[in-house]
Amino acid sequence: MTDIEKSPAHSFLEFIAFLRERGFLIGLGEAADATAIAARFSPETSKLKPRLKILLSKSRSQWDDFDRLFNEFWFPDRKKRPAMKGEVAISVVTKSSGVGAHNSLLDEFPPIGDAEVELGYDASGSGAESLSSVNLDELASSAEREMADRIARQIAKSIKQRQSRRRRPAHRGSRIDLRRTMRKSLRFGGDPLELAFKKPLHRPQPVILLLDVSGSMRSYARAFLAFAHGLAGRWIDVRVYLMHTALVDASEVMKERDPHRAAQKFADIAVGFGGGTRLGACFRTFNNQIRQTSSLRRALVFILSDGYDSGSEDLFATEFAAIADRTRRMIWLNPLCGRASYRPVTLAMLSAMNRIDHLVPADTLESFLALESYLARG
Amino acid sequence: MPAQIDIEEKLALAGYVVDPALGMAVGLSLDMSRPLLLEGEAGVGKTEVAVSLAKALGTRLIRLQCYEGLDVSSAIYEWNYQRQILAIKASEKFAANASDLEAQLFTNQYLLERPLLAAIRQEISPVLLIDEIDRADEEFEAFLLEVLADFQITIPELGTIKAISVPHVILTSNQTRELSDALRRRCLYAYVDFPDVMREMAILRARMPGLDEEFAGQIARFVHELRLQDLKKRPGIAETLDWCAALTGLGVRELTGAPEMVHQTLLCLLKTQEDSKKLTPELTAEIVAGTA
Repeated sequence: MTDIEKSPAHSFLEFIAFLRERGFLIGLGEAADATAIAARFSPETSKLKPRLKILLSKSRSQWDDFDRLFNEFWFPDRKKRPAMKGEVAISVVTKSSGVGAHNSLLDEFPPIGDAEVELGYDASGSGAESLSSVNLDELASSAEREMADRIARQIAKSIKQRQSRRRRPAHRGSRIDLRRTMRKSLRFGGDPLELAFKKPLHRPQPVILLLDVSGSMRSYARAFLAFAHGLAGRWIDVRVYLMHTALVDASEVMKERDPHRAAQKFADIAVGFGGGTRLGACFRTFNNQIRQTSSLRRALVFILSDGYDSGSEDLFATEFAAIADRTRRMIWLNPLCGRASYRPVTLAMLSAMNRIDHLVPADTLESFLALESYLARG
Repeated sequence: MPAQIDIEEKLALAGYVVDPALGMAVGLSLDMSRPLLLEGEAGVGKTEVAVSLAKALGTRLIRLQCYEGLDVSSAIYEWNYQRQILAIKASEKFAANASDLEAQLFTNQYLLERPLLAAIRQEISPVLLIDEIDRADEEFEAFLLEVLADFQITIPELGTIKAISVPHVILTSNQTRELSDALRRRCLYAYVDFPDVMREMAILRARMPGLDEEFAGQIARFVHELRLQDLKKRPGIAETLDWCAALTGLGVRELTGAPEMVHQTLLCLLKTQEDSKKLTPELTAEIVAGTA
């Protein structure tokens, strides 16, 4: 079928597929509702877009992106000029604008443990933004991903369970479960001879991973990202943030198990990889995002960075202390500190040393196994 | 479209100045009988949407405030155990058998309604506000799914209770945790941001009818500028209203004429010690000068 022969309804379903590929959660019900709205309003009018935005967006990022995606799909050749009636080539599905478009920008990281990597590379950190993009597949081969998955599973097991405020039924416990006790009493004519109990529920601590993906960390990014991807697929609550000149929330990408969608989402967030480092600014953004999050008081924070920072020292110290105050435990994984000659000499590391609970060497995937002993300490 | 304009007007009459995108979201939610999930920072007026909608529609507002550990017995229903025990004791002398007793004990007579059950048993559709859903835990979201999808509640002892009237449901979240995809899918969505200067002016004048337009503009511009500063807690609309009331009470009619008074009353807008330190008298005077 040619583009011209496609019916508006068919084109609209392609639009739904286009949004789904970009991570929109559109079930059959929403698709039917959206189609009903689309039958009433044409894409050229100003009435369709805001309605679909409310119906199909399910998060802040989707809310912010919707207008751009709508225009990208329905008006690919248009920048700001309003469409003329009958001008719209409805059947444009810009799959090529997704994964493929980013592949041309690929900037492959060297492999883990590359002997040629100059550790002093960009060591002072650069404030410059980088426009290089990378592909998740190139960051970790399938063998590395398998190993990362195995290690992440092992680490996830070591994460301590903490008591939550919720209670669950139990044979023995500190509190009587009145509902179950009442049901049991009926067989004894209403006398509560058998008591039912509730006891506190234990849950794993939430985990936050802050990954430095700046230029000085190029050679370790593969291991870190593979580990984050493995850990995010576990049953624990994991949030993953990438740090370079800005902070990027990569939690959704890391949880994505479908390779095609993961690559698409990763390409969208990879701008800035391998560039400069502004850890203080990234921590500030992180603090602004989590400032109301009470559940993070139980959180375990892993910072994966070499500690090279091009930003203000004061900003780093203030914001780092704020993270330490708001969370339960901080573990800094530094790829450089496995070396006998390593000393925390960067200003960022020096100011962080007072607030971190453990400084752990981490230059390969295997080195993450050392975390088990730290996590076992509670 | 007329329905949307209609709801915007009704909300305005109820004292809520709504922006067009939010007005459309509320209108669509009413038209489609779908829950509306509002996300945004604390203080942007999410809860107030539900309060004003109830006023605008002339219906009851039923509010469920969420918190960690919220469970079925606090949100949906609970049995009245004290009355049940009394009933059991009273029935002893009649030697009732167990099945009769059970049939008698688990009836509406012994059922305590909590907000969600109360909402679906109203004759006239109420506005059900599920406030700060992000503070409740994942298990509670699972309870909510049945209510939000089918407007029915299953009580094992009684069976499934279907809604007499479908409530207008508004959920709010401050994004302190990610909500489940299942819950999001069942809702329409709108992100509520801080109002722009013009809308904040309109809000001030709607809430404080005697306020001079120029003064309202200065206050709105000052607060707008303040939100652009690097603050731990950006002031919300309620804080703006408090500050405006404080200034009016102190007889201030123009910000530029009373920079010291402005600085002294900033406690209405700034809620942390760090923010208070950051807003030095010099910086305050600079912002005030920009509002003229």
